[in-house]
Amino acid sequence: MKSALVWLPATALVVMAPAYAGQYATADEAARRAFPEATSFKESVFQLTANELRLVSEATGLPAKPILWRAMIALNADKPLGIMVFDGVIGKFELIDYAVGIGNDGKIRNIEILAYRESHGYEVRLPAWRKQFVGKTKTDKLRVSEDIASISGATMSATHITDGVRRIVSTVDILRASGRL
Amino acid sequence: MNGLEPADATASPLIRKRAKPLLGTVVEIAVCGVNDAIFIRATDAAFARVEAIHRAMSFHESTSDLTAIANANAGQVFSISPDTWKTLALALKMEAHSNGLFNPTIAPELVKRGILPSPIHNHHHHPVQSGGLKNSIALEEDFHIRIQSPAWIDLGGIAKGYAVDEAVATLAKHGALNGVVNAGGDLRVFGEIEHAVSVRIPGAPHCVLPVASLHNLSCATTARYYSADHEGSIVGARSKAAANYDSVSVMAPSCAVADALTKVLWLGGPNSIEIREMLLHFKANAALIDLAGVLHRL
Repeated sequence: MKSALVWLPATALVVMAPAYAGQYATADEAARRAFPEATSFKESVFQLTANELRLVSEATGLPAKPILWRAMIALNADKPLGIMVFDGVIGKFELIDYAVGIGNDGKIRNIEILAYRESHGYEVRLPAWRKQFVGKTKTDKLRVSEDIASISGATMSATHITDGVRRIVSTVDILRASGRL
Repeated sequence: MNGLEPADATASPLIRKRAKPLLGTVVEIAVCGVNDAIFIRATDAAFARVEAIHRAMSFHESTSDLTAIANANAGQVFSISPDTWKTLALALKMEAHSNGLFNPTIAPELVKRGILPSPIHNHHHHPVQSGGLKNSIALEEDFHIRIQSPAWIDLGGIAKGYAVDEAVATLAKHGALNGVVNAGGDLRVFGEIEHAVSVRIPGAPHCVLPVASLHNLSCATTARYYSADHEGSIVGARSKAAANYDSVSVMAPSCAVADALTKVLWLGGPNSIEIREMLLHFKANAALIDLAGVLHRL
């Protein structure tokens, strides 16, 4: 197997990372991967009451998320198989949309990243050299590139996703216990 | 034909991508030239493979091999997962080649700093700062390990790369022969494609520098990002030459090797003859970003 490395031109070419985004799966694709035996999916939204929010927070040790949750109920004929819940979190450098499929037994069927995009607008320390750099690139060298697709050293942190999954599992648990799901 | 489907006229040249949160990061698999059925089957298998490797080599999971090793007594011999065994074999090799710069037995220091949890089940075991991996363990036949002196081993500097290599092998087994696997910045380009890789600029992490176009190569990066809580997860004094660099990337055929070599370069810097020889030996190139934001190629 032949390997090859070609250095890219040594210009002060800087690509703004917000150009980077990944589209991985649609909500439908994620739901079908979690519940391949489903014959249909029913779109659904739910919101927790103040008491339910408190229960989730107590069960997970995480701040509860008082949002309108988007979900899809997986059905085989009319029999519910489980639920797919959609959520978004902020990672180290990016916004991440993901989905969690939970079976009727409470077990996680699948976790799938739907999309991520580089977050912008957050504060970074801007060293003096960096200001120079930006100045230089204002000419022809700053470009938004489509051909460069991978970042090494991105170190996307999954901590927020892991926390988010725990929160969703607990939320579904509590809604099922109260008969709302 | 290994149970693979025959070449499919409807196979699409499109790039299909899928990502899951694994290995404490997001693992992205991009494959081109396969239909949807092969894509799902191959990526399902590859993600499952990565998950199994994570379970075996996680410092955090109480049932992992590393937890078993941390709780073992000197002289004990037991079997570990072939993945852990192979990764330890490579770690021993990297440690020997780098004169101990690559040292996976620094976990006690990481536990002290609160980066890793304590792996011990009972209080008779105390953190041991051992004289490196070769003084702590010996690998024996049939995926067995002999404990020479109790050690807390953290394979964080190499296991992610190993998982990427294994994901690529698993994809190929299932007919996905061309693509990129990227585990939070440690990536491998495989098959008939060329793929350009950029490195995040440590001082301005929302910007990246295009570095190289890769064909059948891996790239791993170790860096300190000013806006992130990255500092302090690599233990060991950095050489004077090394301290001039904020980001170290290594390109090598195997992602595990690239991953491990970034740690060696991070600590030792690019100037010593030993490190240059090590890069040659492993058919590796390196790209370093210095404190002024300038890219250096080796």
